[in-house]
Amino acid sequence: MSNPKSKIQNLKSKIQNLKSKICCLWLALLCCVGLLRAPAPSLGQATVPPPDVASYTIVATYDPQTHMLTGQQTAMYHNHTTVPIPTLVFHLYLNAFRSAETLWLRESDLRLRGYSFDPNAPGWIRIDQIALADGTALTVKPLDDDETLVEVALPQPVAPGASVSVDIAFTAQFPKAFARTGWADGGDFIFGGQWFPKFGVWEEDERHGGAWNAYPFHANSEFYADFGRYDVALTLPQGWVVAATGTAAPTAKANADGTVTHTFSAEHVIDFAWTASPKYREMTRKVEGVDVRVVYYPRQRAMARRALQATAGALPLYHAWFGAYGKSLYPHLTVVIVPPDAGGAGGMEYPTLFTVGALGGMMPACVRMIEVEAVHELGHQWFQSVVATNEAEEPWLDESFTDYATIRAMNALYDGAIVECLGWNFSYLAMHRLQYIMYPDTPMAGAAWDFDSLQYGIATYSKPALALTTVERTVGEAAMQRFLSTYFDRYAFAHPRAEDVRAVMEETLGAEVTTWFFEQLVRGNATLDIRVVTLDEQATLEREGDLCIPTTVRVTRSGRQAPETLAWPCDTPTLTIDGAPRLVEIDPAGAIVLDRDLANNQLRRAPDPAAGAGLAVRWLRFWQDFLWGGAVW
Amino acid sequence: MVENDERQMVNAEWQTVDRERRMGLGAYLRRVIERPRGWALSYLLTTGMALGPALLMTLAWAPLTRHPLFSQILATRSVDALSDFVMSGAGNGGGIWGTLALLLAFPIWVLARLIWTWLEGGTLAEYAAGQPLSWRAFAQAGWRWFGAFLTLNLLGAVLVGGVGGAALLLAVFVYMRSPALGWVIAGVGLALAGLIATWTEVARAVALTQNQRGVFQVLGAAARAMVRQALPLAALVGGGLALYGLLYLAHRWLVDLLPLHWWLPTLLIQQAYTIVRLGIRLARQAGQVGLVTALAAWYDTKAIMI
Repeated sequence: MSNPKSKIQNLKSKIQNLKSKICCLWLALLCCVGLLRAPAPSLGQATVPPPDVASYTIVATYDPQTHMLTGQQTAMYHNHTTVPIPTLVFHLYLNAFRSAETLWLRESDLRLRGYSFDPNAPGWIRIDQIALADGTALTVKPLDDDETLVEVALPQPVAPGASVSVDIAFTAQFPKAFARTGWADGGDFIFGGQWFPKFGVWEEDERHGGAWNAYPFHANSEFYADFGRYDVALTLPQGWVVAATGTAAPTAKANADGTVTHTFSAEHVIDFAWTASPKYREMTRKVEGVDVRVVYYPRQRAMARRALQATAGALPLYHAWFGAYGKSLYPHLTVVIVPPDAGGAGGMEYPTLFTVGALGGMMPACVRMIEVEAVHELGHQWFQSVVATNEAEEPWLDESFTDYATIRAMNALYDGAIVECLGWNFSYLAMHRLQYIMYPDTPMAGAAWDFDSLQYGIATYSKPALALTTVERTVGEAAMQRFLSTYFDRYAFAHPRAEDVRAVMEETLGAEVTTWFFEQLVRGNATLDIRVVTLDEQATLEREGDLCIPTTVRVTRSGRQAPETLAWPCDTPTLTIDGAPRLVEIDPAGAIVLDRDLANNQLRRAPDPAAGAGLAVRWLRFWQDFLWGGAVW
Repeated sequence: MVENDERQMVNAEWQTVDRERRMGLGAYLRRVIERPRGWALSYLLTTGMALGPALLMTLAWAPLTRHPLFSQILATRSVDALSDFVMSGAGNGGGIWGTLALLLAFPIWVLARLIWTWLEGGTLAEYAAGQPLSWRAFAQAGWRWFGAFLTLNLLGAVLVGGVGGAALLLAVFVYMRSPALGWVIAGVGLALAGLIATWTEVARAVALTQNQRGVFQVLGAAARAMVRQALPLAALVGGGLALYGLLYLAHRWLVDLLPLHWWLPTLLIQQAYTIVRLGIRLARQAGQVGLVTALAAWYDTKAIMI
């Protein structure tokens, strides 16, 4: 007689077996259907993200006449730490633009990227009412003079693992667009960024226990937020085209008063941005299984095509280098071409949406500013939207990977050139070098407000991008690939710090690279100039600066002999090469793009007669043109 | 007395305009090749004058070819290499030779423009004349039209610079507010500058064919001629421009194929390009002489009929 338990076990096993078979059949069927369908590239294996922390349900109405928005928001915060949360902290970013006296506007000297604040068109946001879900009214206490950060005391702390939900009625006035968010084109354009009361990030650390990681809005600073779900219903006049952050297809419902309510939902995102205009046109393309949608003004069709082309070119590259877009959880991507008078809203990234057009109007095709902007902002979909580092405290973290990716993608798509006019070419990497060599000793680490705007650019964009390019050229593409994909994979939907990046770098690339990268570049102020000092009967090479990156030297002794390559370790400050070399080239592969001076890395013993003749030919042509009247035909 | 007669003969030589013969435009264009004196002189004088500063600049910059990055700038037209080179200070100064070339630049340019103006008189007179001119007649025509052509050149430069500059400034200003309108203004400004340049060019042909040295009279007549002969003139200028564009692209393509060290083929291609480009310019001017002559003949016929 068999044991009933064993019978049940047996039955369970059979059911399990059957389930597996059904599952296999189902998978096989899916595969067949997939094979029969058009060969759309796979989205890859979707990641299971950690539970949402900060989620919002927002119902809002925007009035284009007054540029005001009234909203009702239910915001839910989940305590994922082991420390109870006694208060809630909200960012009210729009208050940074409420007068010329705010911290943000004082720090920025009333402008951002060349676009100025209009004191006659300020922006602000006000919490009209705030209450717990059970109706208990709460009080808002400003944490800074400008009220860009407010605190709400809770009657009961939120216990670890528990959630709190608050209902907020708020009113927001958008400024005239000059710094990411606002209206333009006489009110026919609106970009809604940083537009609703948004939670700070509750963090737990060894020193402070639990605390809100949130700062007043500073001019250089961008953002930091938890992942969550957004359900947003926006009511706008009829005929307006709306685009927004979203992971599901939006819906639209006409209202009796002539307005239309557009509903969006987005899961596992850190922010929600939207844009609308009655003038928007759109174009779409499916790339690597992602629905790419570009919205643009009628006269910006050419610009939109260029942005779409660049996006479609870079998306598969990033997919291959880092991992699937949104870890396969974001099926949509929206590219917003801002109108010419809203350049201040251009060049900004949000989850599943980014804007281009920071430089205003159309550029000739040989100037690829639109392309580089699209390629850069797309990169942020990986490094910020998914790997959500703290842009206020460690702004270099997301910009470094994004701008490094931009350099690499520009190399792959456009031979590196952001300008390629009349045969002259200029690369994105060289643009960064021009900025970097102004203050090469600026450490990359530092909060956004620690830097002035030039040093901020160097510390967060130029130097890190050049540093990562140097790493890639030192360790090779395959090793770099390991580093990048491990980092992205490990910290998708998380908030890594510099130390986490360091750990991944050390694990994948080894201690030597990690040491010079973190100790000398991230935290230190080391620089490097490797140079050929003299070259006669012997060559003297010097290494100036503390940055310790080993390199090689290629020595050509005569035209008949193959060049010889010597290793130059970084603990040797001076190198002497005998035997009257004809040509000496330090770092012949051009790996160390952090070198302060690249022009002194190579030297010939004597002038090159053929190059001299080539020079003479060109000078003759120049003077002929000059005497003849140049371009006048 | 003999000298006076001779001068009259010479004058008669270059004043013989083919008005009665009603030659087609093609015949005038062919004269550029059939009477190559102006073409050859223009090229040789320009090249001769360019050689001096070109050699001085080569002497000044030759030591820089010790830096491979410098050769890279020339070979690839890389602004990356150029910016690294300039920022490094390796290319600082051109020494005594470079300074000398820069000091000589303006006087040589003025001299070249004056010689060109003089050559233009002889060259256009030769295209307008029934027969090829003697050297003496060629030189005399150069002197005869020198003053008028110089005034026209200066006036043209002022007008083109003024209108073009104003349009450019306006375009930049408008571009800040409306980029599309900015581009339109820039385009219109460019077209206007081109029109003015053509106007002063046609005026030279009018002056010569009507034997008129009064600048304002010839400008008026040139404006009328441009209206009367608008289509053929547009074809002439447009065709020349298109040909020039194609030539530029072909030359650019060829030169870009050649490495820096292949200086001889580069020299040959660049000089061939310069010569042909000069030919296109002269063909346009010969065509203008032809069009203005045809118009004058038409006026004559009309006068006879009245």
